[in-house]
Amino acid sequence: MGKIAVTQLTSLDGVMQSPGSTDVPFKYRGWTLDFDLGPEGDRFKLEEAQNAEALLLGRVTYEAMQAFWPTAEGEFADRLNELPKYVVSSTLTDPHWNATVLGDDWPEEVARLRKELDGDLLVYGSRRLSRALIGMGLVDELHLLVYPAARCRRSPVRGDAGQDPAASGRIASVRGRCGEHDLCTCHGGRVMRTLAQPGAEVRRVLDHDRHPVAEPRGPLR
Amino acid sequence: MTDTRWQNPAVLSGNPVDEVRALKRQPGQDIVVTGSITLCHTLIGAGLVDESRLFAYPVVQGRGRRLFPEGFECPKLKLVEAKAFRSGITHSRYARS
Repeated sequence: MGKIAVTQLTSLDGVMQSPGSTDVPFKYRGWTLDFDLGPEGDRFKLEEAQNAEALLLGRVTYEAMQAFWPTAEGEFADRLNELPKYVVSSTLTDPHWNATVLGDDWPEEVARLRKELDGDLLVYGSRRLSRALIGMGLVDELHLLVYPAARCRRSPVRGDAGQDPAASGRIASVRGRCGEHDLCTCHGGRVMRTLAQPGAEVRRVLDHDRHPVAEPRGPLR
Repeated sequence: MTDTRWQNPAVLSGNPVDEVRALKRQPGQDIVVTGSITLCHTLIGAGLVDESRLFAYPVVQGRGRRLFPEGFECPKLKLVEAKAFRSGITHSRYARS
């Protein structure tokens, strides 16, 4: 018999929306970026992931995570990448990142997984799924990391690419994939995510904790 | 209100923000507010609160009035102290960062 553990980063007033990224269309976003969990906090999150046997995610959180973690490095990233994932979605058909899609009969599937697994079935973020699971009485544990902040709004740091010498206006080369984005190097040497072709002019840069997004002038690829 | 039978009460009947700002300027120890949600919203919104001391009970209410006023945004507070009691209640003290 496994356990379903819903784990959330929340602000002091209970907002859990988009804690770690700014390039999402949410009002409150990226509000954890001002904080550093420190080695103790990192170890805590690592142990939580090590104790998990699988991840259970909603489609929105799944897509946000699989756009970031596959190219990230470190023990925590390795653990997230190797864990099996179960994604609740009625639209996702071609999952990557070691994932299985649960469709309309997901409540039965989740109940079955909970019975069959030995370790934790860990839910990150996934607001709608978390609420549904809580409502169905399927949540065994809530892990809340409460950040000392209230209802935070952090707008993406936007700037003209011209103000950022490392972005230097144009995309020089594409060096890999990061989710649905290409990972590119700009003429100034900065590594960014992009949907543009090499040579495209960078109109502005949306800041992100690891790889900012280069928004091209003109059409996307 | 005019009834002042509890020990040492003074009725502040003016604008609460001005009255409390004036009180804060006087020498003395902490001015502690407990409960008083309407007053708290006014003081938090006016930026007059230096410290929040929160006892969080391990229950989910689902409704009810909230400590922070609607629309209040504060990107960073400083956790001064946190303590968990055997009952599952936690006490956390947050100051302005």
